[in-house]
Amino acid sequence: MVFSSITFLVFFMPCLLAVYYLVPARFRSIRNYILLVFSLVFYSFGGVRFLALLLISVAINYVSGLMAAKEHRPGVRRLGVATACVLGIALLGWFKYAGFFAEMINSFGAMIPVPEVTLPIGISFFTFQGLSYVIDVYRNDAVCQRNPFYVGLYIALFPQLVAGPIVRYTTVSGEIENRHESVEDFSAGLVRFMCGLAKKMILANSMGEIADAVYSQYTDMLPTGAAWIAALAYTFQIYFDFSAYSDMAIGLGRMFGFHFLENFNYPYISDSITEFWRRWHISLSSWFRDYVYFPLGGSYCSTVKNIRNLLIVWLLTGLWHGAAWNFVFWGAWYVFFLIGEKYVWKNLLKKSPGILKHIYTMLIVIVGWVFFRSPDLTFAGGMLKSMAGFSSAGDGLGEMVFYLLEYWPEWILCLIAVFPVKNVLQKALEKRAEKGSGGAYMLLLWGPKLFALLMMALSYLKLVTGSFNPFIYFQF
Amino acid sequence: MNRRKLIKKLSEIVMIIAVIGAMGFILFMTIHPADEKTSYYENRMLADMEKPSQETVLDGTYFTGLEKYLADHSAYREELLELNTDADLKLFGRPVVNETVVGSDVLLSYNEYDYHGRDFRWDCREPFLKNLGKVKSAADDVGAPYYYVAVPEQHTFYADKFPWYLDSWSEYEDLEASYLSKLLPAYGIYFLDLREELMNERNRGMYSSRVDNHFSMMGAFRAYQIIMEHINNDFHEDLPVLYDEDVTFRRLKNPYMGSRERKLFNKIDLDESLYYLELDSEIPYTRRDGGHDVNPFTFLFPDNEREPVSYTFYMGGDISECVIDTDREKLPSVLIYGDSFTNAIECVLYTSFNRMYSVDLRYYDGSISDYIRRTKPDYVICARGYSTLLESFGNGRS
Repeated sequence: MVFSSITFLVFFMPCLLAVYYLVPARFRSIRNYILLVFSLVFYSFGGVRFLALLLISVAINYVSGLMAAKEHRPGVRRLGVATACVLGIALLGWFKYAGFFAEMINSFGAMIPVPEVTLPIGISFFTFQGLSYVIDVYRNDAVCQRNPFYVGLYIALFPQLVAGPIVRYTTVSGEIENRHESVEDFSAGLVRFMCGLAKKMILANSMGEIADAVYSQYTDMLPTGAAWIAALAYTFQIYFDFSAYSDMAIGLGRMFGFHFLENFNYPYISDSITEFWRRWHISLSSWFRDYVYFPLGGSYCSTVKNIRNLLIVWLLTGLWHGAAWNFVFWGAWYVFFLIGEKYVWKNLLKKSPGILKHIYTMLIVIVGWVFFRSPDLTFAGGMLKSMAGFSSAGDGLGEMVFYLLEYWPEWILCLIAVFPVKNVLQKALEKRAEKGSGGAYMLLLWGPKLFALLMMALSYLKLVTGSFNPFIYFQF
Repeated sequence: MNRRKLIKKLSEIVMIIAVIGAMGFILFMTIHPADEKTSYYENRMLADMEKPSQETVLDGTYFTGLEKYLADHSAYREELLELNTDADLKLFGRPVVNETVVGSDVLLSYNEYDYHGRDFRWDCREPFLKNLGKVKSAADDVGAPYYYVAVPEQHTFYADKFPWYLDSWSEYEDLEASYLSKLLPAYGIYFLDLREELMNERNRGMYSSRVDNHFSMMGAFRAYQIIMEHINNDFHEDLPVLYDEDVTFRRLKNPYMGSRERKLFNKIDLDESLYYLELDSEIPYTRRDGGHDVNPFTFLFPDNEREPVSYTFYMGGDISECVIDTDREKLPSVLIYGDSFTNAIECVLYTSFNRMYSVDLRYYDGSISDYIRRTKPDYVICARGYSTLLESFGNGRS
């Protein structure tokens, strides 16, 4: 089930809200069990057979968490962490990477059978989430949760189950047992959810239509203009698609009293790749930082070791996104620039004018997305060759003009929405409201809500009239 | 509680009630839908509610089907589709709306940029060639010449009406024609490129609809003449062929909604009419559809002049199998199979033969090769539009 579906919006959510809020708030545990059951039902829509895997993952992390609790001997605690890591990674490894590694081994002349394994939705997210729980318990950053259902609720909570953000246990542990649902939070959650839904339905899906139309062609005959328009469209698509999902997850969480951390912070205004990765998929980069980079030594080591640490983290980041060489290359692409910005051209970048820094960053990001979106490295190479003007199929000006004319409202909205317009407006209105402006205060109060209602109407319109509706990050 | 806090609380409550109320309303309207099984403007069946099975629940396909059903039957779907079309046409001025290129006096198909024109992929044509070979083999077994007729579609006739940035597919069609004109004779198949013939004629402006993918009755009539002239020349036959002096074209007064107008919910009406033929000398015939006798007709006249008509006026639309008998034993029989372009041709083709078999493999369950061997026609004609000329599915099956 996806959030942007009739099933979710018109059936699942109303049912859940009705059942959840019929139970008085003082029966916290019952409300939690309701959330858990609905979360498992939510996940089952992708196929009931995958539910068993989710429950196994919950069980592994629950038991490992018990072992890692601070009252045990260090040996038992280490065993708990090791169990969670080995079993969790093994599950992820089998379902996601078995085919990839088998093909890699076969490329050296072996003849092992390549397993065809269906990738369960969200396995990369809930595996990492479970691991973070056990490791945080081991580190004494979190208290071990004795109630297995609450561990299940943490891992399987439907707003962030299938496409993040990767929520740390410490963020929600207190709220699992002791949260306060309020009208204010519910209303704010609704606004956030509706705006996220509109971002997905209006912006991400439109850009996706363009990207898909071009990416389905043969790259060896792809005109330059078409390659560029597809690259730009995908750059918008992936941002709005993924950040929309995070918006909806955060909004939904808030409706039930949970406060998840932000996952995106307007990454396309970045002036360096380093800054980009502080703004993009924050929960993933911070996960790798806290559980891989820092344990390896982070930057508190020699330059050579730091470079090694960055390489490991970013190759793993690439691999996390997909079991294919183009994802590994995508990770390598970014680590090259991250290392370069840290050790080679740091000063040059600092002294450069802002606009140049921004262009530099966005060019790297756009090219990176070409690797990310392409089915393989050969395709990516063909796309980049066309983008560089070495296409034998001409300039593709016609196709470029068509996609610009056909989707001009969406292009304009995309260009506006990558900037923190909302934040700027909000700050300006808050200043005026503080000075006593009633109008500014009313606009602050009603503006977002009316906007969200309009977005809801437009989203329903798009939902009913469209059919292109996959979330990109479901493959992870 | 001070005034500002009260207003804030009120705004939040209003927001919650508005959203939950809207969800509830849509839920109610969706589970109580009108009993619609088809979408007229989309020209398709709406999704059915599938029955769950252990397998489909376990692998999730049941829920995917459920979503498709709900999306097809969601509240106010058709009204919202119309509203969306209106907005795209009038507010945003999109050049392509609902897969239709919106011109001032013509509605054309949106042809995707698929670069076939630049890199014709010969290797993916193998299944098509294999099927073609099987049909030819069946035709040979019954001693029937096999004609493969390429029918130009609307975008060919109006290639110059496309905006410069859109693809009329003319390059691709050139390659298709070149490929087939070299290949098919080597197979012993007669390739008839109607594009080459019709596009060179003075009257070509009358041959295609401005609002539909198909040719007009005038275009179909000319196509029929070209086919018959080729048969007569190639086989030294003297089969009767109708010309302009043998027929009268009549305009059907009923409002006509072409497939492109339909896609746009008739928001753009170019006021085109359908035409039909009256033969100066009627030829009596019987008709059997799918083995059952039906009241013989080639033009399906509506009950009154107000009833809207579509291309199904010709022969009643796409029929899986139809046989027209004229009881003139001295004339040969013909099998014509293909896409809906054959429908308008069939309205006049039967006049030149004793018996006309018509099959549409998109709806016919069996094999055309077996059909040929069973019915033993004297001529076999396959007529397909350029956009599916090389496809092995549908009427490209054997």
